[in-house]
Amino acid sequence: MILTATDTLIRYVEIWVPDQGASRLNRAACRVVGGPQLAESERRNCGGARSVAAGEGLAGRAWHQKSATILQEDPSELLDRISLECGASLAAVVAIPIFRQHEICGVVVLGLGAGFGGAEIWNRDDRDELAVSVAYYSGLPSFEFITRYTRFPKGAGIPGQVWESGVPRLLRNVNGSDGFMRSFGNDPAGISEVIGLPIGSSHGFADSVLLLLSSQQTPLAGHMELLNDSLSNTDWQKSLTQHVASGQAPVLCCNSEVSLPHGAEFAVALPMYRNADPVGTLCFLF
Amino acid sequence: MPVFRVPANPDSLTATVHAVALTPHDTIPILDAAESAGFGFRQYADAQGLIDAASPSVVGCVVTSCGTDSLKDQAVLTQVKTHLHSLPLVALLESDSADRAVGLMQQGIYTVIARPFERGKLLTALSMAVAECQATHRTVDHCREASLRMDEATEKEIEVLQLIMQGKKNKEIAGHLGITVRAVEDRRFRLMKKVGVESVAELVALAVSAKYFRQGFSGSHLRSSAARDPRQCVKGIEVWSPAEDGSVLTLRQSCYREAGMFQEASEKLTFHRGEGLPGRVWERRAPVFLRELITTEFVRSSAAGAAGMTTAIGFPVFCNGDVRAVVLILLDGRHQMKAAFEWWRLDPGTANLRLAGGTFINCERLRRLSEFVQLPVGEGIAGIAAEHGRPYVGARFNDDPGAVRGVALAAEGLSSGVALPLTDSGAMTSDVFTMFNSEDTQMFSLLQAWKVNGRGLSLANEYFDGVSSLAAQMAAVTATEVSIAGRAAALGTPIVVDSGSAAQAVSRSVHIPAPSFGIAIPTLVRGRVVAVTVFAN
Repeated sequence: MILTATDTLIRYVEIWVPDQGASRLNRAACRVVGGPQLAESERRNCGGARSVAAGEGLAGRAWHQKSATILQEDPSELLDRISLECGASLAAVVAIPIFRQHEICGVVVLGLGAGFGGAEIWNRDDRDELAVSVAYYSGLPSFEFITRYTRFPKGAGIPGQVWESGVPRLLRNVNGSDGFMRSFGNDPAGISEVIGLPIGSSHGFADSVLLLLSSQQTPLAGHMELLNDSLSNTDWQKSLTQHVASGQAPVLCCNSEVSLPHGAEFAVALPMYRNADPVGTLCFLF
Repeated sequence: MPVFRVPANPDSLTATVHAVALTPHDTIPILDAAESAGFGFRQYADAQGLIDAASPSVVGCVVTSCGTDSLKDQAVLTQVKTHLHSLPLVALLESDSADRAVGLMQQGIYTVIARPFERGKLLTALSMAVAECQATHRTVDHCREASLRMDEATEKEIEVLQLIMQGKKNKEIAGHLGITVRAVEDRRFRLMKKVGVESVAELVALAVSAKYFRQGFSGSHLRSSAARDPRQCVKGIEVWSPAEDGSVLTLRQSCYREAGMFQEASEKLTFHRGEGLPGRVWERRAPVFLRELITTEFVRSSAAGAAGMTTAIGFPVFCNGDVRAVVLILLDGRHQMKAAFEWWRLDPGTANLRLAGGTFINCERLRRLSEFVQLPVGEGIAGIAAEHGRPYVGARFNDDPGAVRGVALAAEGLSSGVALPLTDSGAMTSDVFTMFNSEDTQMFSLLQAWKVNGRGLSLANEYFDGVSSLAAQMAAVTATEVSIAGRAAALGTPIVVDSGSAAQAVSRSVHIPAPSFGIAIPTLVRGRVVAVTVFAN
């Protein structure tokens, strides 16, 4: 196995979990990639709320809208504030709400830097096809252009497959592969991995689909896995899924809590559910 | 901060696991195993879906569930094996069906996997099946190379080789051919040197490989398209027109490559509305695409098979709102060619064009993308043709900032194309027919768009082998009435050309070799020809 090092697109992570009555979300963890975990008391700016109601702040907005949210306006007060708080230069922030049945399990906020990659939110249009409603792209102009004119019905393309199945997907080596039809392998900043996450659900289908695009130059994280209970077979994977299962919420685990592979310093795990059933855990190692 | 990456296995990049008619319960572990192995994954409702979507050059394997209905299973297996010879089949079975497993293996299944699945076994089975497929493709490549090397042999050397392969000794060969033993040895030596082998055994092995390739691997589990001249892939062009009383379509013009029996069969035929391919185009007033001619929808299917035709495309030419002619392009899609024929239709909801039909030859990824892409009116060749109701010829789509599929077309090697408006309204049209040529294997090396004005015809743009020609930059080039463009303009009907008249089509383009095969198609507005499109080679 040959390992190489580079910068990640995800530069900052926040985990928000609901309080006991699920009336508010509390910030459970936050960390700058490559930096130490920040205790709440150590945060540089007190302007950032530790707790939000539905509709408040970015995490609260994602919860209230039952949809992933991408923030990239320039200038954006909220984006600037998060950048200032975490001390990282962010080009966009993605908030991913996680629901079990209709209950909120948590929100994961990912701060993205510049590089090659992106995030797309696919929503249904009036013809019951998926189109990108909001997206952040870094260094992918031709991909962005073709996406503007692409629509996927249920079951077609990665967004359509995730929408139909309600199951998250992680596809590797997609640059120029048959599995990822918008990529033709001739883009020097080609997308190498794609993560598709169903967000919310009604009538058995996801309300929307979030796609995270990872490139070889600036991958989203040092390592990515989609863990499945029936297929997990290494100690760190079992340990991480147990952490997630115990709280039924997203977690940020340091190497001291879970013995992580590849010398990773911490892991972020997002449990995914189809209605009330767990359908996988998306895991980022940094 | 550290980031870790395992370099992709290059072989796995294009390999895909094709799941046919799997239940969701079976799909998840197969999908997981495919992704773990670094393979792509696609699923289809039935075998026909896979056949429609996959090209014979696809690398991967097929996974399907086999139950107790052995006849149904047999039908699926036969379908896949007939159309996608190189894809190994993996069958999913219940654990207690050992007899069934043996039966399936005898029918040519690559392997079987019993439920409940074990992840390790799934991974191994899929990886081995894909490796088998890759080995098959390598064998085909080897045989193709052998065939190319054997092309160097002279007729006299081949005579000797054929007798060697029959097991005859030099003396017997000499007696058979009426030459000396020394002459036999000389011919054999020259041939061995030419094709780069050092022993008679190697020579025979090479000849067998080449023979397999040229015969399309008939009788072998390997079958592939033979490496023929790609420009010969257009086997025929026909123009069918309604008879004077409007009751039937008759064949008005045609040109074929070595298709005597097909021509004979065609000349005797007429088609009513809705009958056969021409009749369907007439009735639907829209393009019709037949990827496979072995179908009852193609009346001349046996003659087409004998003439090496596998694929047909038909589209209408309008005049005063009526179908004036139906043009048929008949192809041998088994060639190592790439081409795309498409029908784009305006979506009133978005005012963009969407794919309404098409045939994509060896550019499967473009087909898949095109199904989900919209083309803005006014951009790209289809959009420009739609906006102005005029034909448009283009090339180098990757450099066109308005071409939504520019990257995709370039990646498929499709470097030039024609867009024809399917209308005679003269205004924005709702339907456009497009045809794309491959960079390496030009189906039609010459593409021209002529404008008709008061003085006659002027060449709007011209591409030869995908390159814009100087003739187009010379602005007005008046065509005479005897040229195909001029005749199409004068008669208002498509003109099919043979070697005699085609040369005159490009009489001013002295740098371009005279084409021998092609068609000129007029675009009419209110009964008057406003443009002519020529594609020829």
